[in-house]
Amino acid sequence: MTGQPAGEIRIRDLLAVDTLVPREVRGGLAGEVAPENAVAIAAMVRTDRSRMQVVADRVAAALGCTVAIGGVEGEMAVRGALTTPGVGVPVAVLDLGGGSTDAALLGPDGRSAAVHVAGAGELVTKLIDAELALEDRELAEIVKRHPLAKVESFFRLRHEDGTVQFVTEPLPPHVYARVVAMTPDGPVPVPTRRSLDQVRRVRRAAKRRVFTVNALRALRRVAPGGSLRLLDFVVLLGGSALDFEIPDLLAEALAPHGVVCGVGNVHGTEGPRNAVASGLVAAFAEEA
Amino acid sequence: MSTERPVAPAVVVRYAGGHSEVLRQVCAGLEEEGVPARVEQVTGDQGCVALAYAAAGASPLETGIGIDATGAVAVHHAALPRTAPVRTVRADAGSAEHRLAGGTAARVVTIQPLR
Ligand SMILES: Nc1ncnc2c1ncn2[C@@H]1O[C@H](COP(=O)(O)OP(=O)(O)O)[C@@H](O)[C@H]1O
Repeated sequence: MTGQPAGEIRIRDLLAVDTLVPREVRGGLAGEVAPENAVAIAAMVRTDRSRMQVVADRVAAALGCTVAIGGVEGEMAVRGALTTPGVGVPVAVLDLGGGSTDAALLGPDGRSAAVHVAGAGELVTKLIDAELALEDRELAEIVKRHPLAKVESFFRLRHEDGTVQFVTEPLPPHVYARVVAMTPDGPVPVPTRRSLDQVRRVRRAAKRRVFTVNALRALRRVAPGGSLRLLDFVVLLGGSALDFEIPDLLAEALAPHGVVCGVGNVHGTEGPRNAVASGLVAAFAEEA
Repeated sequence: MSTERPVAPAVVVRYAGGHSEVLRQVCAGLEEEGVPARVEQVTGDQGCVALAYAAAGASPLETGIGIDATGAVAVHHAALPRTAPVRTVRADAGSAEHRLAGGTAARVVTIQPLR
């Protein structure tokens, strides 16, 4: 996007996740598959200011306004997080995004620290896509975002928590007896031979292997002396903090370290997103 | 002691006649999935959906197939709305489709994803 030659790109952080990917067996029966080891990798690359200026200039040209590059992302995220009702300094934030997981800390002395580590929501989607052999990113995203159910008859669904729901309108034939993702627009079939429990396990493992691993390593890097015990409250931000189970999985992983986390609510209304944008606006308003 | 005889569990196929190849394929589709069929020859000019719905009502498995006088096929379940069959197949759809209709009825019974 910035037209930077490949030779100038520097990798700053890498997350590698072992995964089992079903592969068609060569010379086997038609459609026979066997799990094969693979490694999924997310990388963070360094950008420099001149590259950001390229982007800024293009935005300026497209919108016909002045564009300034400002703020350190981590600091701005903390600033945005602090607008969550009940949150005060000292505070740590975890920004669970698409490409990277970012941690930032604002200490009682006003000093801050921030890190970005590779791997976030997009990698979770990729792992789900690969491990279920869906070959459909959109569908993998749907499986990531919504709880599962099994259609047991034209009028009955069993949700993944075991509860049974009866519907008054018959369920369409294309979802009959299938594992489905329960979207607000209705059940979407997951084309796999795996059971609901197996699909659920793949989904949760993908989230754990990316987000709990990254949350721990990012927080350790910003925590005073690398000790998680010295953090007590972590505000979760970013698109992946909207996930229906990622906050719970993280709470479970952080609890043994005495750390409590909660989903941010920027300005008490915006939810966990737009913290950085809110922080930038607040900083600009203060300067002006 | 009850005088009622037990009814064999089967998908009921109501067949209006004249399309023996369609009937043969539908029954083969059921047999492939190991689900028994009971064929009942009927008269009249009811459409395949109405025949299938009545067949489902007569089936201990609540699943029926109708093959009307034009050779069109419908698969139905007794719990579904009368006019909303599981699937319909046109008379000229070909033998593979007719066989699949039998398979669909069988899969409704065995609670397997429909193809
Ligand atoms: N409701 C949701 N449930 C789960 N994940 C979500 C939801 N909304 C967005 N996401 C995920 O959030 C990620 C994007 O996060 P965001 O903070 O918007 O991105 P960025 O890192 O680009 O700033 C994507 O991986 C997306 O799948």
